[in-house]
Amino acid sequence: MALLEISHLQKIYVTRLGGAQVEALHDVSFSVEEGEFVAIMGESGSGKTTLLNILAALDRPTGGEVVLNGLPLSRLPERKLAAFRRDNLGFVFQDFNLLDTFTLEDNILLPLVLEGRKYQEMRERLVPLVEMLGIAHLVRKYPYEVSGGQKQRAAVARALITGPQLVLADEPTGALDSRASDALLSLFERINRGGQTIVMVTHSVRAACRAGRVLFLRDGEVYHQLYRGELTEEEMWGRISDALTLATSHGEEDAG
Amino acid sequence: MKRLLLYCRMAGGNIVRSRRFYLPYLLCCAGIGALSYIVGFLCMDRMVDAMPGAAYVRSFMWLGVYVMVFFSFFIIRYANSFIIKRRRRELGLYNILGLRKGNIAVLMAFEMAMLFGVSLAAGLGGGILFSKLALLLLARTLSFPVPMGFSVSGGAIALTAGLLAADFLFCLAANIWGVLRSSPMQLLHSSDEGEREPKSRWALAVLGLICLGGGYWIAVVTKNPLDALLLFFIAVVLVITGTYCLFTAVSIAVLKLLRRNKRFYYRPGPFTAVSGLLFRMKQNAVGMANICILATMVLVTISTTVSLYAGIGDVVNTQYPYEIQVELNLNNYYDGAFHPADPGDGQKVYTAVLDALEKGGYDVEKAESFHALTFTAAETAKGVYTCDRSAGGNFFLTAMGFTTVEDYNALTGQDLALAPGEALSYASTGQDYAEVAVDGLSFAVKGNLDSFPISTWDATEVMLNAHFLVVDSEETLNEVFMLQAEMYGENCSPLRYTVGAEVGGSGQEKRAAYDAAVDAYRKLDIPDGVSLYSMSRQADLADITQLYGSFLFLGILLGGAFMMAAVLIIYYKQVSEGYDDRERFAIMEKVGMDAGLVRKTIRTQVLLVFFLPLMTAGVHILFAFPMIARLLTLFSLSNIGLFGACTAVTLVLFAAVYTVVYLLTARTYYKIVQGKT
Repeated sequence: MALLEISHLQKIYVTRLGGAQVEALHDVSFSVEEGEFVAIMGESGSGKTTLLNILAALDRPTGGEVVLNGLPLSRLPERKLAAFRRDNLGFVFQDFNLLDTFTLEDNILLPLVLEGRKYQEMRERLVPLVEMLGIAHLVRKYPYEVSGGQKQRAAVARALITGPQLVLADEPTGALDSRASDALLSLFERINRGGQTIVMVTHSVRAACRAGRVLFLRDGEVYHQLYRGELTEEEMWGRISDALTLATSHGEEDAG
Repeated sequence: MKRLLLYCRMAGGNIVRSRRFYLPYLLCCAGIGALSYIVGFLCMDRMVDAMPGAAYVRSFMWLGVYVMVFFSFFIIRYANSFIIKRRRRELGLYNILGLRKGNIAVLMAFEMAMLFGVSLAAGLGGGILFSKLALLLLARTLSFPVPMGFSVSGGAIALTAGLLAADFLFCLAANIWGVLRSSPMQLLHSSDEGEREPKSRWALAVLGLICLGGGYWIAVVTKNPLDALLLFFIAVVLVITGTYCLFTAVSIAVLKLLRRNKRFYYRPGPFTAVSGLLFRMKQNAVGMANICILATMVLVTISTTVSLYAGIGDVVNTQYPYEIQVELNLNNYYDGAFHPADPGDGQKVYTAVLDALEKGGYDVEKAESFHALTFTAAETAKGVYTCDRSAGGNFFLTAMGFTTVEDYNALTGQDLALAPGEALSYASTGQDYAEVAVDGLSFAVKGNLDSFPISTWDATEVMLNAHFLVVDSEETLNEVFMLQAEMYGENCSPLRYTVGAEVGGSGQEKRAAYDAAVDAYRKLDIPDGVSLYSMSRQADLADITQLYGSFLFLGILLGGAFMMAAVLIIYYKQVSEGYDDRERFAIMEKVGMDAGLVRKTIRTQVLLVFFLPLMTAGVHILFAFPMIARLLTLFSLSNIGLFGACTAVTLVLFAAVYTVVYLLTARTYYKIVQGKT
């Protein structure tokens, strides 16, 4: 059974006055197996962010269902959502979303503190994690005292510290330079090899070609998918570019 | 013309869009305008001239005008700088979109002109409307008939307009200067600058605690009212310094200590609260200290003026033991000679006054007379007094008083007898004496008294302990008089004969009774050089009511102004914090903080920021209480219960108003934090 199953997801936004309706997701279905590293690609406006918000239980779909490890998210009552997110999902955001009022250590520990863990236990989880991520020497610093790449690694540590079933990454390389991006993606690959399931939303080809599978989203639908298999990074790059070109020309034909 | 319209439309639109900031600003400016008008009106309007006690009102209200001038400048500047900080991004955007800095300056001038127009109109409207009410209130407080009619004071309008115009012009100049000085990119990003963690300043924290402790210590241990008067300002300065240190350094030190305690800190509630407060204190410490001090000022001003006013009866009763009091100096030494009255003059005065009162048909409730001699002496050892100040050594100055046993019996309705050389003793310190000697004249004390029928107020007025002796006869009294006259010479005290009467009825009847008594004793044939004078409680009551009434009125006006400032500061604080916190709470919700905890954390923080200054102000008041109570005795108010009640009521009322503001502000804050704007 797949870890994450998404079937016929639909999301319609209604403007406040109830006039115009905007369909962000039309009919999205796919599944993610345990231990997979999936990238979701698409232009802005393709519904990526909406999809991720629904996966993150930050937003409810209009139709369809998201099932994580056999548990349909629609069954979860509102008040349990926060705890559910904390226990099962880890988040990595484009703009890091670290709190300036906390040191990196406290930022990383935040989900555990919210769970009400003992400080001793928190330390035990924190130490190996920050060592693996190469930020052990930085944990006493504040977010504004470290570089973007270091911030993002702290954010990854925060996502991983609860041992989530699924890590959701929203444009994680969006605010990083190319070197920091590559380092972060290598880190993702390494974590993934350790058995961590990752779903990453991106429009960067460089980021997507590191994933094991790439889904292409357009106008609220998955129109294509690519498996990396035994392909090299360059070959994968080529395939992704082709798929995107196809999508654009297809889109232009539609428009014309 | 078209351009002018465009500017108007833009300026109006800007103000309406930022109404969350401008509405409280306008309300505050209008409030200041209204208060200035009322204060100016009471200073300048002719209707006030017709009132008795107009001089007091005038002088107090002019004081009010000066305070308003400084105060309005401070508060309008504060509000303006807050708003302009929030609007820098918008102004930067205009600059980038092609509005030259000159255009922006013109736009800002238009906005300022509109704000000025609205606040002046609203302020004058409110001021004119409420000026009559203020006059009625003043008339009631000073207890005189309400003046008829309604008038508008041109002078007060000019004062208000000038005041507001000066403040607004200054703000406009500061705003334009701020825009000219910085580049559009600086304007755009000025609100994104990262905040550093506040440093702990242990030295400052310790200094703060010492100042605060010192101020409190002075307030509690200073027993003598005169010392209290001198030390009060030192205590105030210490406490103000201490308050600023408390909020800026001590708070941060405490929070850092809390953070060091891992088992306490790493729990859901404290985790977010402590870290949030640490940063919040850095930005808000000074604001909170300001609020705390303003709140303390409001509480002290209103509670003291109210209790002085409410205690007028007490004050007058202590200062005037009788409704009508006539004093005859039986003997005195001045201009190098004794000026004795004829024997029986005392009785003549008593009979004349009483006859006049009875003939006039006044309701005489009580009539008393007694001989008394009071002078200052130095107590060199217990019970040993001397008038010789050159004696040196350690001594306590004491107000000594003497009367005869005959008078004492008449006043208390007892039937005691004393032999020559014997005395009864009453000491205001409550001490018992066995023997009392005054410069070699010694008395064996036959009894110590707990209370005394003759007022010792004129002794305690000059902050001395009083010691009264009842002696056996007028001869002994005379002996004591001669003794001190010899020692003090030209500075000696007279031997007095006091006639006191209580008269019932209305204030007017009391005044009439007094006039009748004065007429009666003036007709008497008293030797030249013998002083005969009288006092009316009612006459003084009117005077003191006007004085304390004006004082109270000013207290309320200023209290209102201070309160308005405190409220405005706290509102802006909350709103600006709301914008800062919005981001933080959004992130926390994303990483799994549930909405309930978010709400709880927000509530804790808002409550703390709101009520910490109020609580500190409460503690300040608590410690200031004994000192202010002692200061009030200088104004002859010794009713501590009354002052306590006034303070408590003021505190409760203030807390109530504050809570209402809190509820309104908290609502805005939640809306901002939850992103519903």
